Amino acid sequence: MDLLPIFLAILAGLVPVAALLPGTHSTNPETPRRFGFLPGAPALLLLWVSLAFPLGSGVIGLAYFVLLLTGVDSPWVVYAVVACFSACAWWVLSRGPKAEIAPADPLAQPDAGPAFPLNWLLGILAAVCMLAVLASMAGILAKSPHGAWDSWAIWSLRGKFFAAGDGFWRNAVDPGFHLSHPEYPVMFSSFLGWSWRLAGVENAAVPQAVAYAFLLSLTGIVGAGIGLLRRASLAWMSIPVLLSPIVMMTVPASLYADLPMGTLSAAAAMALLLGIASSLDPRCFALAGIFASLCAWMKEEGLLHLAVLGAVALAFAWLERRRDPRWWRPVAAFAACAAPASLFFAWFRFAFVPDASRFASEPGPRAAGGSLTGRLLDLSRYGEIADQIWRMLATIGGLLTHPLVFLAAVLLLLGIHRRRTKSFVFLAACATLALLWAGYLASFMLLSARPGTVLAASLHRLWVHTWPLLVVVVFLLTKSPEDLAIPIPARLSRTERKEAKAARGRSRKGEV
Amino acid sequence: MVELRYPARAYLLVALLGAMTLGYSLSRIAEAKEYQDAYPFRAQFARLAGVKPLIAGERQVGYLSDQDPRRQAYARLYFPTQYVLAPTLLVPLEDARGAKFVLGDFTRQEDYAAVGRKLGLEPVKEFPMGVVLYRRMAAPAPENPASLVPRHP
Repeated sequence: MDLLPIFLAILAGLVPVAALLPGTHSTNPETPRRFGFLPGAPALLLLWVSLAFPLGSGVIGLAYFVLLLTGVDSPWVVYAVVACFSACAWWVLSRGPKAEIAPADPLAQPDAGPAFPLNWLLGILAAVCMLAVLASMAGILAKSPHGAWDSWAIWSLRGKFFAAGDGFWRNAVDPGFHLSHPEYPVMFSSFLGWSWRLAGVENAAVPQAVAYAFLLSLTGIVGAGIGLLRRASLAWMSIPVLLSPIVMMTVPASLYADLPMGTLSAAAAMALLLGIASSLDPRCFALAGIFASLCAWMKEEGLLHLAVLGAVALAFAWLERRRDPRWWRPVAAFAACAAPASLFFAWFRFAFVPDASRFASEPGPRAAGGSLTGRLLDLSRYGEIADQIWRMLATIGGLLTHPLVFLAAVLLLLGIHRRRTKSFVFLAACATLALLWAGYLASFMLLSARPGTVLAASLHRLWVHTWPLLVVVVFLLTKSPEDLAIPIPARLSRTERKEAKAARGRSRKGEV
Repeated sequence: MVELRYPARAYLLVALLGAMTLGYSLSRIAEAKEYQDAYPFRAQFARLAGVKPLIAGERQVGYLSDQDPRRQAYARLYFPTQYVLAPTLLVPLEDARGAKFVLGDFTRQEDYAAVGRKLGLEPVKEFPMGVVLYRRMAAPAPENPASLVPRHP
């Protein structure tokens, strides 16, 4: 029963994802195979399943909270509402044009040609890495089944309030709960509450299963996304690199909302990149819009992710205005799909649980005081941030197994694919990452508390929000092993050599 | 007919990734083995097991501690207790005017009944390890709960 909520969330998300991703609505049966990943496990299928869980859990978390507000607290009614929503989405989307995705930009096409012969070995390495992370997570969770501080002080704790349903769920947003954070977005806690309610038992196994599911989803999104946009060899290589920071083991085992946040952000970015690669397919932009708005419902930092992804969607659609006069359609699809959850979050944050701005001056030992401009111009704050980033980088991996060493090894040995640096897909990924980092920097500069104090406690988990996108950027930039291959005349087999010799002999006799 | 020949650096990268993955996997498993839970919850569940049935159905219960709310030690005491007793919300005593019960969560051995009397509370039941469940007295003689907190320099 502990896994039932996970399966139901995957089912709820699978239908809209399948309706919105490119290739699924193609009339050409070869299309999914064009994105071949492994026989029997195409990248597209892996991407559907990987995106389905974050989408399903996000929509269920939102629906459960909305229905609790209206006095309905049955988990099955919530699921019925979400299932109806999914079915309606499928019905509407499946009636659309059945055009094959044909990227106008040849750089947006996945690489063609024979695959790297050691893909099987790269696949084994990815599996070993995944198993090691899952085993270490299990080891940590066996000792600390309820996760770390923020889990039992914020996320899972509020999940318990939601699980109790009518009469108790308001404790999660009660002003008397000011020791915690009643103003934080409730999607993750609401999904945990629904899951506990559905499982019928309030145990530690449910949040643990949710953490495993998000980690597997994130790995699938990054791996399958790179497989679709580039090649299987790079997809397999990206998995050990993605999992290489120690925070990819400790943060999931902490049962915090940061892993779900990173997963939703990666899902939104990947849907957007696939949309750009598919001649601005509005369906991909719509999916990106849904995921981006769910980011805002997951954590406060998600608002930044929503704004950045929206800006990148707008900018890259606008750049295509000459080629496509209806360039605004994908942007409208993004905005329309992002609007419901975003507006609901705005109502929640500013009307339902209004709270003082994070950027206001606050009294107390951590407050730095000063105006916003004063904080921005205070060079010591930049120094503190740089110092914390350095400290974090020094502790997220050993000398030879450091994630940056992984990235450097890939870039140095495979080299940079210069033509792809002009691809809109790569440029959009870079723009998203750069804007996200700039946004985080600005928020820590504007925060009233000293950034060093705040970052010392949070930078490790914040790294999980953007690290997957950095991995995607590097693997879009690098050459694949297949790009390095040199074609040589094939050596003939013994039989072929005998036949060729005999043919030569016959021709000589003929000449004589 | 042509074959593809891969340069040595492609194979070197695979070998390097293999070695790094192996080293990384072993170190992760070793780190997980060495991991120590800083806030063991099992003790909290046992400590508060008797309280839960008595406050079941109460949406909010007052919370009283001998720790200074401005210090981390207060949060370290409050949140595990709150997690175990959820969905009942533990509200600091000064904000819990309407709560029928008050939970005393102490770190020092004292006369808990006397502590409660000063605040207009009567003990319902005392549990091991500094846990006391109080009820509000009919005619309260409230005192500032902050007076329980020892003064820090």
